[in-house]
Amino acid sequence: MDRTPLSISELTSRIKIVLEGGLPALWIRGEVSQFTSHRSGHSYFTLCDDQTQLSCVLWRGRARELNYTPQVGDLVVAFGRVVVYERGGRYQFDCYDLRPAGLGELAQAFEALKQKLAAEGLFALERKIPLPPLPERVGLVTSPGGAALQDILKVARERAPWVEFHLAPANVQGPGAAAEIAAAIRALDQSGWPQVIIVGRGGGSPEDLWAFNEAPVVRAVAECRTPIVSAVGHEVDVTLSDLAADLRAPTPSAAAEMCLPDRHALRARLEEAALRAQRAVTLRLAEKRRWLTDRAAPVLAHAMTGRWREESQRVDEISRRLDRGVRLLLERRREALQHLGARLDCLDPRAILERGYAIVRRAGDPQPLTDAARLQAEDEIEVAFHRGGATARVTSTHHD
Amino acid sequence: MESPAEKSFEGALKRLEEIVRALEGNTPSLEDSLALYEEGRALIGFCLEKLESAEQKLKVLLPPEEL
Repeated sequence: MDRTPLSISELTSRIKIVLEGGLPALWIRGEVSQFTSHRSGHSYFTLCDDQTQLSCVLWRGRARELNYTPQVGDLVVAFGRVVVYERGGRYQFDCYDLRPAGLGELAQAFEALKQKLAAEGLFALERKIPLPPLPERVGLVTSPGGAALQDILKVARERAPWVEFHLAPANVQGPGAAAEIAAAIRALDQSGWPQVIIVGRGGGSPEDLWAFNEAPVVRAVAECRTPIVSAVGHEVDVTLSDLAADLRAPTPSAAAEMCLPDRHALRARLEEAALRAQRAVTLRLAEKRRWLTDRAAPVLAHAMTGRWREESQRVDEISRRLDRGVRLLLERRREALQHLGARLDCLDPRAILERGYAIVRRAGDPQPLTDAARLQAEDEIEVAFHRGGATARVTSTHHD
Repeated sequence: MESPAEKSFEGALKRLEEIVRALEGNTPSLEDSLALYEEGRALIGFCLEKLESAEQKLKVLLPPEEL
C-alpha cells in the first residue's frame, strides 16, 4: 500500500472521480426541510427522510424553467446528479428537475388502490347500512392523544352527554398504523357493544392520512357489520376509508354531529309531546264534565220540581235495603255455619255415649261388639263409657 | 312498562309518541286516558333526566392486540 500521504485536495478530487463516475443521474424522493433562493437566482435546499438529509442545489437556469417552488414540509421528487463540491469538501445533489411528489406519486398510488379495492366491491352502495337514529353506545377508533378524539367528545358533551364511548386506540399514521386501525375496528365490531363506530383522525398531509387508504383499513371498514362513519382529515381530504364507510363525515366533529342526536332538538320534541298529551287529556276531561252536566241537568230539574227529595229518598231506600241485604247475608251465612257445625258434632261417635250408650269390646280386640251371640260366659270384656271405661267378665248371655 | 333502566332513549320516545297519538285519538275511557297520560309523564321524566345527565362516559379499551 502506497504510504505517502495524499493532500486534501488530491483526496477530494479522487472522491469526486469515484462518486461522480459511479453514480448516474437519478430520481430521488424526500421532504423539503429547508429551501432558500439567493439573489443570484440559485436555490439551495435540503431534502430529508426520517433517517438522513441531503443538501441540494438548483442552478439559476433550471430554477426559472420550473413553475414550482417547494414549501418546507413538501414531499418532492427530484432528478439530478450527485456532485462533489470540492471547496466545501462535501457532496450535494445537482438538481435538474423538481416536482411535488406528494400529489403526483401518491395520487397515482391512490387511484391504483382505489381501482383494486373497488374491484373487490368494497365501495358498493348496497353494502351501506343506515345509521341508528338515537345511538347510546358509540365506538371510536382514533389516536388517544389526537385532536380528533377531543373534538368528538366536545361535540358529544354538548349534544348528547348521556352517550357512552368506547375508544379502541390506534396510531393513525406511521408504520403499522393501518394494521392497528384495522384491528381496532374489528375488535369493536366483534365486541357487539357499539351501535355505531366512528373511525378517523384530524387534519394532515396526504402522507399523514395515507394509512386510511391502505387495504387493511379499507377492508376492515367495508366488512364492518356495525354502522361505521369515516372522518379523516379536513373537508377537502377524501380517503378510501371514507368511500368504504357507511357514511363519510368531512371532519371528526362533523361525524359526531351526524351520529349523535341533539339534546336541544330532543328536548323540544319532548316538550311538544308533553303539550299535546296535556291538551288531549284536558280535552277528554272537559268532554267528560260536559257529559256529566248534560246528564245532571234533568236531575237538577227534578230538584226544582221537588222530585229531588224523591230521588234522594229513593237513594236512601236503596242504601237501606242495601244495608239490610248485607246484614241478612251475613246472618244467613252465620246460621249456615252453625247448622253445619251441629251436624258435624252429632256425627262424632263420642257424642252418642253422652246420651248413655257404651261401647263393648272383647278384651284386646278393638272391634266393638254388636251381637251377644259372639260372647259366652266367663269371657272378659271392656266397656267404654262417655267418661272412662271398665273391664268385666260375662256371667251369661241371652238372645232376644 | 319496562323499567326505565333498560329502556333505551329511542324506545321511550317511540312509546311516548304512540301515547300522544292514542290520547289524541278516541281513547275508550277517561281512566285509560289518565293511565296513558301517567305513563307519558313518566316517560318524559325519564327522557328529560337523560338529557340533563352531564357526566360523559368514555372507556379506553386495551389496544387491539391485548383484547
